[in-house]
Amino acid sequence: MKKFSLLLSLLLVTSVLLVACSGKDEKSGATESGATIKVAAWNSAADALTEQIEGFNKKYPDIKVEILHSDTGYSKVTPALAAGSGAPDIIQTQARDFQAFLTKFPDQFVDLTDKTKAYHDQFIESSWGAVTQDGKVYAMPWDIGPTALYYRIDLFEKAGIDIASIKTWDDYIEAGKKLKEAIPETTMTGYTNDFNLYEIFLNQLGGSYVKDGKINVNSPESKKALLLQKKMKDEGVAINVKDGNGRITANNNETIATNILPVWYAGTLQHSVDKQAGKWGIAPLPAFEEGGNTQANLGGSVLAVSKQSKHTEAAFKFIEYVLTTDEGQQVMIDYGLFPSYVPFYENETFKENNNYFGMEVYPFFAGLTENIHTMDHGPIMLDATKPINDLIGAVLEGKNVDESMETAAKAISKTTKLEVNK
Amino acid sequence: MGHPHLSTGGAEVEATTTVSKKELATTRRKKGWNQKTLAPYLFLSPFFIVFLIFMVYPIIESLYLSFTSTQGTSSEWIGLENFKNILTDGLFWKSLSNVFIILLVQVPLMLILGTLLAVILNSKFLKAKALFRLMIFLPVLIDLVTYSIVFSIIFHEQYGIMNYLLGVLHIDPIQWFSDPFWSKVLIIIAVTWRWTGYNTIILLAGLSAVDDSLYESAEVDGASKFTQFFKITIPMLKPILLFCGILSTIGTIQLFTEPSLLTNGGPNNATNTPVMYLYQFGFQSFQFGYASAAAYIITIIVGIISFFQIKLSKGGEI
Repeated sequence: MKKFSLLLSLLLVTSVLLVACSGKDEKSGATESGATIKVAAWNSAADALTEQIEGFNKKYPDIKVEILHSDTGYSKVTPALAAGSGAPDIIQTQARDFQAFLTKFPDQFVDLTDKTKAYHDQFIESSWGAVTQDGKVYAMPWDIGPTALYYRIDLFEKAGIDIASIKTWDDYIEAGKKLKEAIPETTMTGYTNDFNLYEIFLNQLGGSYVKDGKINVNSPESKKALLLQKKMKDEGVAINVKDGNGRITANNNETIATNILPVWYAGTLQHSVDKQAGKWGIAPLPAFEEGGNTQANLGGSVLAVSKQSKHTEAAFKFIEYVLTTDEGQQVMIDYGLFPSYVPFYENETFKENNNYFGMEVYPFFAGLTENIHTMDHGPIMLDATKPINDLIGAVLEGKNVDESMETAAKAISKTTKLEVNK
Repeated sequence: MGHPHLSTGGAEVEATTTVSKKELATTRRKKGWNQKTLAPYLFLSPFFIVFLIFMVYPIIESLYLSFTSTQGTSSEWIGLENFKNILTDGLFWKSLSNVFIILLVQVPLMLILGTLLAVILNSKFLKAKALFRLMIFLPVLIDLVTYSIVFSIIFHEQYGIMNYLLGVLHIDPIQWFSDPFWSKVLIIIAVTWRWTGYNTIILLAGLSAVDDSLYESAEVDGASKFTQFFKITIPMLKPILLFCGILSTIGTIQLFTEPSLLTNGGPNNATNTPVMYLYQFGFQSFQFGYASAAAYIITIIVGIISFFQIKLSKGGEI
């Protein structure tokens, strides 16, 4: 009995040690011909990539692809990057976060400069900025988010608002008041507890988070963007809908009549607000002043290859297939991922008429990409999220705008060690 | 890692050979380590090995990290700068004051409720005790994430049943999420709902240890039920109450799931907590050094508070 107990305890110890040490061998199994590449992506982007595997394997039957469902907070990817082992071969990040990734995880991404050179002119010019550091390209631009005004045609008619008359944001606010008078239970628009609306306004104004390597959230453009959101709230034309789910509820209940959001919201409306088919129209954004810029971008992702990957060639082949072929982009567009790959704009699928909106949605948005200002997010976005959200919260609550901007700039400066623009 | 597989072929072989070696060794040193004295340590060793790898090592590593500028994979020794930056950050103090406000209201409230429920459950006249005990304990079994989401639906400002019921009573809808005061109240309600049962069961165990003869002699002396409660029950429960108080205090200072899921720290940081603060730096901007320093500061604060709680109540002496 004693011997047995001793044996058992020893067994336990050795097995724990063995298991603890066995982590390393896992990867060596895959050989050149039968490479398995793992791709970390989230939500519909991950679903789109999953659907791509079949088409990809027709071209490259030897490369196995596995999609890992990650989250927008990167919580599954970053520990592996920090630890230097266990990272997937291909990693999706938001375009605006990628520079921060390059700063926080130097030497973790494969230099793709030579491989992407041939595609340079085929992608929207402004999409390269996010993936380039010191003249070298470290990721492939995926999708972009040209932004527009989604509005309820029927409610506008009921309130006697002519969409064509809304040229500026001031017109928009006036129209919102008119709407409230005609239909008291409906508000013009809703905003969520993030900085989506702020970023749209900021991009529309040509502002940026970082300018000449310095923090720029205290810029005049930033102030203008903040004050517009505050004015909308104060005038009662914008209500807080908390988050994306709250927005869907608000749309379904006719609590709000417009959404200021990018192209991907067309997909959300079709899927989650399906009963209102035919009631939604899309118009360009109102401008800040008459004749001003009506285009802005929000969101968009990139695909990067991890240096930990043992199959960088195979990984890039997958990226090449999904992002630079019509077959690949055809799948993407089904998931509402608007390509930065321009040749696809000539494809028949791209030009198809959309029944929900009764118009050619994608060509319309393609027309809203030409004058989008390139926006410098700098390497700060992972650190800046919280301070910027706090800044918007403070301004909406009625705190002094200049002081709040300074507070936010200082908070970002403290963690990023970047200087603040004066 | 971490899941021992007993059936691993290699492990068995290796184990048996080590055993025979060990046997030889033990027979040689008869008076020293023999099987009898060694066995308990070997039985404990799997735990200690796991404990060393997953607790002791991270504790030491994070102490080192707290003196560095580590973010992602880049790192540099910067001494006490992280600590200085945290202690001068208004947001940190705001989050700390938030949990203290919640703490000062919630912990006494919960302990009073818990004590009352425990006394009722312990009463001789109550029928179907097991059923009531189960009902009071049930919230503890519900996952933190699940109940937070359910609470966010119940207390939804526009469509929640709580504001609907208030409307029935002609009370204006309460802004549970967008008002700084009411969002704290919401957190307090949620945490109290979740944890009162847990404390009740611990206090109930404490009550059953109180000798019935104390009450009997008090009864003979003509003491009322109230006097008995305050002069016998409460003093006898003091060590248990202290235990519950310390656990709840630590739990509240480390509050994370509820504010994170219910209010996301808002509105405008009114329900931000130190652990959310830490999490934001650690896992949203990957400032591991800064987050480690914050973790140490929070731990020190918890330690100091627990120390004073024990001091003030004289270690829970009756």
